[in-house]
Amino acid sequence: MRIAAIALMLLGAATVSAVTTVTTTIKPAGQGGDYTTLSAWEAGQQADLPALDEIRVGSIDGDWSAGPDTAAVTIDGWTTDATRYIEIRTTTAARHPGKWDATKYVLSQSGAVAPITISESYVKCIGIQFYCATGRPINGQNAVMFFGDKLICKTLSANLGSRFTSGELRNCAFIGSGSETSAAVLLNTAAVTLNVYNCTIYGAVIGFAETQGTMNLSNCLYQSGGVASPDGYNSISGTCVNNCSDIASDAPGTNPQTGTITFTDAANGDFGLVAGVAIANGADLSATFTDDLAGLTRTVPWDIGARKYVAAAPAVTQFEDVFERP
Amino acid sequence: MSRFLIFISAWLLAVPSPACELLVKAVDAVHSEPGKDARGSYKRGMVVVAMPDGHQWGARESLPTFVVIKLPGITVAKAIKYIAPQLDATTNTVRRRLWQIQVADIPLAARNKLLTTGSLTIGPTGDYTWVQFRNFIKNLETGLTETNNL
Repeated sequence: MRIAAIALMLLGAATVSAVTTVTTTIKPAGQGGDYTTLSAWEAGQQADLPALDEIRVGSIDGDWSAGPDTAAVTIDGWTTDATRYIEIRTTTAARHPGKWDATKYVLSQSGAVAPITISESYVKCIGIQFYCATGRPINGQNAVMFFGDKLICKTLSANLGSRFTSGELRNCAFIGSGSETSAAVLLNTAAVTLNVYNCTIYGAVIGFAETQGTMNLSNCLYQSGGVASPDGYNSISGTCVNNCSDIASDAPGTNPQTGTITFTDAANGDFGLVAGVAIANGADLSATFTDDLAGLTRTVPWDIGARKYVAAAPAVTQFEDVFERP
Repeated sequence: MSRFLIFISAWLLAVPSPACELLVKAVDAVHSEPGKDARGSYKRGMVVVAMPDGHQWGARESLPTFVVIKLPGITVAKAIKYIAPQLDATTNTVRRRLWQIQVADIPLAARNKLLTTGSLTIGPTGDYTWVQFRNFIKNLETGLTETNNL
């Protein structure tokens, strides 16, 4: 039933012709949007979506280089279902380029309050960056069927990571604080399933953890980044294939990979693959999705982690060198 | 002395006066489930966000869904208390907001101005003084009106 629900939500209105998609924009002040904060969007768009037969989309657009959206958001008080749901997405202008980028849209909190609390079922978030200095970047509770794609979550010194209920995460990156007593990606709701595909966790004490429910992990990448007492995969009971850790005997399931991955610039939130066992050792999940955190199309053999491996461009042969050869 | 006065004057002109604007829900949202209605639905008079003075609101951050209360002389940091939720003893949210402006109790002339122009200014030279206006801000947990100065 829940697999069908996620499938219906991913297919969108195209398969249910009566459903109307209502899109309104969130842009910085003075840039001509409908709303200037995601919080105001949520307050203004709250509705019984099945009764209206609508999908409501918050389209985050515009130039956010002047600063983040600092109004904390709680998604609650709606009525939704698998085909009439809430979608929050960035446009190309506001979206990160596959790595942490403070000049793009960031939903940010400087204290311990989560920038987003999801207490509503059937919510999709696509292409959004979340920052919380001392608390959870994403706080999922009292809700089911959250779908997250191309999210980047970052904390400064939080001991809590992002918490999810049921649903799916794909192509997401989580930058830990190194102070976690709770996982960077936590499932702690009973009798639910969270599917996690091609997600990267870097620098968190605890990576993926399950205290209740079932977390299925495929092509996920944990790298400790040198934190003390790291634990990349904690108490995972679900089906796990082709996951990677830099800790020996840590990655669970079938075909685990162990090794230290060289990233493009991990310290600055760029988890592009440069070298290591994450390259070409992923399972082919193209029946489910085909892109990566940066929006690039994945090709076989798949890689592990949120970013597809892109080989460095070959050195350019100088025209003079060719003619000087005997 | 005159240089000192010139310096002070220049400094006062350069430092912006504190002021903020509150985006306030103008209509009730209603959920059929009572617990979820209390926890999640914004009601008329609840403050949604607080922004610095002069914030250029979006096209839909206006009537019929929202109104703006302007508070010259009040910083965002001081007004931010009005966007806090009501929590229970275990810090779970039980109501979307702890505080609510009792729009129906605002005197008719001011209420009409608010609901036709979409804005009221609260301050010494505004539509109301803070001392007058705070009588219409209610703590939903205690049932008492605001008595504090900001």
